[in-house]
Amino acid sequence: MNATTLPFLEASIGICLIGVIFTSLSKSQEKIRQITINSSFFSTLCCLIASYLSFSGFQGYLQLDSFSAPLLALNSILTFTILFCTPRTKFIGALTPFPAILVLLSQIWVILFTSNTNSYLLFALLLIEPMIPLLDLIRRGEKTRVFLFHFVPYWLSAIVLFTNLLPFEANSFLIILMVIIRTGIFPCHAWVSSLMNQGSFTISLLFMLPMPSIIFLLFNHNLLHENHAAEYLSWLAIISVIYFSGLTLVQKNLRDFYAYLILAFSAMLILGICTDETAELTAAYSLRNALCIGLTGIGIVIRSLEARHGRLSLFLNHGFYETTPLLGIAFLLCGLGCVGFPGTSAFISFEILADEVIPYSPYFGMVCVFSEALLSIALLMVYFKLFCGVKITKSEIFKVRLREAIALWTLIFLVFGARFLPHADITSSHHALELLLKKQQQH
Amino acid sequence: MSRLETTLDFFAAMAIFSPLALACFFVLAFILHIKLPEKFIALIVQLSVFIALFGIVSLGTLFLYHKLNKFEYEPFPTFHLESFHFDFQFYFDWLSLSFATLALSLCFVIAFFSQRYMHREPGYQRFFVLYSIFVTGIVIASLAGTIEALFVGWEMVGLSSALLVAFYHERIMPTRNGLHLWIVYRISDTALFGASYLLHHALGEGFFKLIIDQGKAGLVNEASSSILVGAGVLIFIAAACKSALFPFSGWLPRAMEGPTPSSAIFYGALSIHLGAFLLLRLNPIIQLSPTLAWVVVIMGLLTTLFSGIIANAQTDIKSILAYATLTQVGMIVAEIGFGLEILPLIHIIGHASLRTYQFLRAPSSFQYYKSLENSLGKTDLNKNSTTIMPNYLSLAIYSFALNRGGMDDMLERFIITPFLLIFKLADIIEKNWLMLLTGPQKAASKDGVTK
Repeated sequence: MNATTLPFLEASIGICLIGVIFTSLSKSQEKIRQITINSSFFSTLCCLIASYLSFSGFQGYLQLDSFSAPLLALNSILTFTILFCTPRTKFIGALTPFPAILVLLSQIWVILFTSNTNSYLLFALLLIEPMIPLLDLIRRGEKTRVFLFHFVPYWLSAIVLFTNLLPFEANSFLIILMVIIRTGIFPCHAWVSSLMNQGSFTISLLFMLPMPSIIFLLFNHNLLHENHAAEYLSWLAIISVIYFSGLTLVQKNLRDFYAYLILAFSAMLILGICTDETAELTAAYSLRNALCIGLTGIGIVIRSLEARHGRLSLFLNHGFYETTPLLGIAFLLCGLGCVGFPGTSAFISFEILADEVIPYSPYFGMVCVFSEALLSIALLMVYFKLFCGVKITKSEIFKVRLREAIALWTLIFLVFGARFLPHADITSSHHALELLLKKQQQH
Repeated sequence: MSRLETTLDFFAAMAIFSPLALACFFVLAFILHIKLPEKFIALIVQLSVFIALFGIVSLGTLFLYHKLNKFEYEPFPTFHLESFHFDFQFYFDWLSLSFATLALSLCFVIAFFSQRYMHREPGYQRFFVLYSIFVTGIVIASLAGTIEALFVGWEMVGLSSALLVAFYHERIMPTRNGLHLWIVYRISDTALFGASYLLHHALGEGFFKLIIDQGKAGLVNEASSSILVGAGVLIFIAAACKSALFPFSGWLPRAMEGPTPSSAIFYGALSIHLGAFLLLRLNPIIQLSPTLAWVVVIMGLLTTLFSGIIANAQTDIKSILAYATLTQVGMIVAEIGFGLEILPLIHIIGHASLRTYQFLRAPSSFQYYKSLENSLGKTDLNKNSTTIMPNYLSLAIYSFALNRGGMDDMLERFIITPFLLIFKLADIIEKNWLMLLTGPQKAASKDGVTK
């Protein structure tokens, strides 16, 4: 037995589980912080090795393919990055203790979800996932009415599906309903801004950013083309894209702005997935990866700013560039990465998405382009509100910490450097998706 | 590959990759918080722009010596994904070479001027980061041989311009004006994207080169003219936004909030002419429809008329120059609408050079007038000016000009406000819906946001 045959993927889950046990036994917040970050780091390392080895043809018990390996690598890096740069004040001296156990459980969930190709298992994982933010809301003593209002029908749909109470044709609609709720497509989106405002921001990021419903739909793409489900879903997605993009322009609360930003981009991805062209699906998949990176960067910046200044409104200008220029640069660059600025990883993906959606429906394509313009305006507007407009005194207290800087540099590198010429990435994603779709057709 | 082609490729790479490398280096240093010394920044900026300029001038010399008309440079292979193509190619002909030479010459001059003008400015490095992005963008846009390359350059110019307007970002007005400019530029980008889609689906892959190579004659048989006219309208909107034509002129005086070198190079010389350059490049599409060509002429002349009137009532030197610039840009656009090719190009080159000089002299204009008055022995140079219009009419025109034609107000009142109002109402409904679901206590706790 050599090192390459070790079950790294299983080890990554095991490390997180050990971390959960030790965290629950520990009383010192400093120790909890160290255990959480260390177990997340070693787990991520194992995931990266497993992804790398899967390209070389080595597999453990859990199987990775050309589609899931890069997905696992990216998602585990992003999860670790979010945790790694969590300000110390969130652990020590915070009013509500940091949800370390839930964060590690989220990481386990991400590993399991991205390393699986079995549709049933993916479906089961999708059902379990909302329990994490729900537990977080309960732990914080917040009301769970809005969340349950949306997720009780979500779970009920799943029960109906399992019990086969409805005719076979209705099943695809139930799954679509679940996707609509989970993604936050109009009109089932109220829980997103509620969760962002009431729940822990870290848990909200970990719950929203992997965009699991997009991956689930890619794995079960044939469901969309039964009973015109794709058509209905794409109409809802197009309404959502334009509606949420417009709402980002008028938000006065930073977290609400961020919630609508995620919702607008998620709806855009759903729109891309509703077509049956492989190129379009490739664009949606690559764009999803790029958006996850960019939105993670924006999320980290927001969390860092809130850790220093408390909840922020967008009524007035704050001028934080003077004290934390790196946060300003990261916000701007990650925002540009999301709207597909030339040189970023989303650029070509967005070009393909808009170009391929247009023949499918010219209006959809133009709405995509128009929404992207609205989102870019909203992003620059919020950048100016947060980082410019007033002169404030420099202070060492607000200085960006090394961990935050490393996390943000990594994300900026992923937004720009790693994909300056993203041809190879898109071609390999296209190849992986072709194989995936072929497999779906065979089944 | 012949020796000549290798030489041409080498000089083309010099022209394109020198500013690109500079931009990459500056952005990287900026992100990593590496504080570079002022002299070093100035030196590498000047060196990089000189290398690019040398490349372009050498290409021009080779064109003259070998009597070449065009040359295509493809630094990256075409990316194919099913029916999607991504070509990043450059096209050198007399038009692109002339505009690129103009752009790099002016950027070279500005690099020297900025070294002193921005000396000890806290945002010295930030200025040159944005400057380098702008230079890269303008070079890519002027030498673009495909719509993708044009789009890349177009967006880089837009972003750097908006951030340069908001350069003094500790004050609120520059950021507001920067955002205003960004909004207009995004409309321009959206229109250009729409046009490129229509042309791509009407003419197929490589339509940009087809238009450049074959002109109007090559287009007539290719696709239904209604699609091409639609594309022409969108191209005109994109150019009108970029060149601040009527009724999008409102952003130009706002753009003067930035440092003088950026005002000179971007809004006096290059950015403002980029729209005209696009129209010149894609003029065959405009000329396909006589109606559209006349619309271009009329809008150009309207811009000239309005900005000519408005310029006379401005109270600061930069705004006067901004509107004076627009009078000439309007005329250039009208010339393009008439189907002329050489005259607008000469007009662009001459006008851009003159305005750069005037903008750079703007900060010392008081000194200039003082020396002029001393030489002439007069204290008021406008004392002998007479009014031929009745008082009420001149007052009305003066009021109109002072309000800059009310164009910004109109756009805000009839387009922006109603658009935002829809979403503000939607937001109120959203908040009420959330309050209904959450219950009143929790909604109230949400208001604990720091203001």
